[in-house]
Amino acid sequence: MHSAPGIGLGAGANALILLHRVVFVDDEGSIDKRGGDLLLKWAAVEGLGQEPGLLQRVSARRTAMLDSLRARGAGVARLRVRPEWRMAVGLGNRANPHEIGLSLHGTYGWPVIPGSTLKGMTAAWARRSGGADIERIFGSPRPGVDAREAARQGTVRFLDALPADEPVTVTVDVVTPHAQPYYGSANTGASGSGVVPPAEHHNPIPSMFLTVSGGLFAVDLTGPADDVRQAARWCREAFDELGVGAKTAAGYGYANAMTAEG
Amino acid sequence: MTRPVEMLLLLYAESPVHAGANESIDVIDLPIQREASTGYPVIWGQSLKGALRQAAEDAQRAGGSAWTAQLVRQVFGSAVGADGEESAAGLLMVGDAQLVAMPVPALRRTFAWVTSGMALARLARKYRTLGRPVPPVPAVAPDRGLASGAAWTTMDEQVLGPCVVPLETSEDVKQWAGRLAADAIGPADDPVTGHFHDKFVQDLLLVGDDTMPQLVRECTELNARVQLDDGKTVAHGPFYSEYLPAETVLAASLTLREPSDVSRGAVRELLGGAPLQVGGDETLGKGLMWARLEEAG
Repeated sequence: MHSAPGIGLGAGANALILLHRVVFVDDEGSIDKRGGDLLLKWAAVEGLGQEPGLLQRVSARRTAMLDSLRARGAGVARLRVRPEWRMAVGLGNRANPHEIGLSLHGTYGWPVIPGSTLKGMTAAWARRSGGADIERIFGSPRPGVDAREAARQGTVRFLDALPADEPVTVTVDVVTPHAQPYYGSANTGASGSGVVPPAEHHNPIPSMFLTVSGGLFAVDLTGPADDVRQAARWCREAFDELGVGAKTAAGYGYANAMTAEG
Repeated sequence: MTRPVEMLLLLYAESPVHAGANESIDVIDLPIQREASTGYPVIWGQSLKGALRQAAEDAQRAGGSAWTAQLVRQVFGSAVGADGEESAAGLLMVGDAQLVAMPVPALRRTFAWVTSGMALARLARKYRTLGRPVPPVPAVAPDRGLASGAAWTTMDEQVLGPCVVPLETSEDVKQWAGRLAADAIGPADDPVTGHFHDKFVQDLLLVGDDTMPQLVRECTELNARVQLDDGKTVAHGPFYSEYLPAETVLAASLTLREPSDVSRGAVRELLGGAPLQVGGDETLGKGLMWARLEEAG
């Protein structure tokens, strides 16, 4: 995309374009790092384009959908989830040349915690309880466990979690590996002489990534009332004990989940 | 015998929808259903009918509605594996849910809905079956587009997903936008749907035949999923599933044969502004759609 002066990209510009489709190249045709930095700056300043008006309406429509399901007899639970520090979900999803990865909503481009992420985290925590209701709630067969019954769908739905009511805060974070050539070659699966040994003469190379650092997500579960209650309890504990997404060993992803009224 | 009743079912995606096709020719492991001839996303009639039947059975089990086991069987036909009864065809004929408008990311107003001459012409045909007049379907050059609202013409070109498209406003597209906003999205004065109604009225774009195939191909949602082991390293994956994005609008023709007040009322109650579960990955919150029904006259 050519740069056009005077086009202010405010909230309302979609991160699915800016982070997934835009690439900056320099005169030699290689990737221009400064362009990537600009994209990160936009993401942090504009909160990945979360437009407060639309966000509020999307949130209200989601609530109406849940009310409608409840009126038809489904159990519904809503958790309001506030990151304790930072949250990095979808870091591996680097669908752009500047290698910026974060889970984005497929229509609005806003930060999102995918339903599959929530379900995986909750199931990992539930596994420790070892109860018989795990297969019913999450479906079977479970990974690594011989199925006690025929394959079947779980009873509880984990919806994609969007920012609740107002935009969440997006922050640029940095990790600075001191032996980047070593990690780079080891991670590509090179072996033997292909791996560059770590050494003191390598320069530290800062590498930027995006995190969510504040605000609230609405995590919605629906299904049979008893199962939803149990799953919501596990999910709340998992946010506190396991954390969601990447880098949980470095303190990312832990969150305070409260059951919302209604 | 009474004449069959023609109806138009409009579906509006609240969450991404995965109506899965059976095989993949691409890097996508779990692709969505598409029309072989056009590449447009579609939900096949058989998939949609299954979803409608499920909704009717759920309503019957929950009680308090017109749906009884007998009525479900009458409208949708005998259940799979129902022993000891004579099998019978259902009275409801369900067509494919074809694409009407698909959201694409933009650099302003977050996203716009794109449609094409073909999508609107097909929809016009469905409306005519109901005996309802429709606005004309305007023609557009293959590499250009027409917008319902003036916000899209403040610059020479607009970025839509992977494409850059020159746009101008069109009265016909504006009329279509108004019709669809009311019929598919919901009333303008409703606190929940009102904002989306207004947005649709302003943000419907009809794009030409060069652009549309690329947008319907590339602007679906693609999710990479992995299975982690206890140490949180990847045990399986990644595998990629494709979804029709939230905010997509689809339309399907329904025909109810030998209608009675009871069956008509029950179908109306089931699909009039109600949530509907369509397609797979239900336990990941996918496939929630708002259903609305338009009837003849």
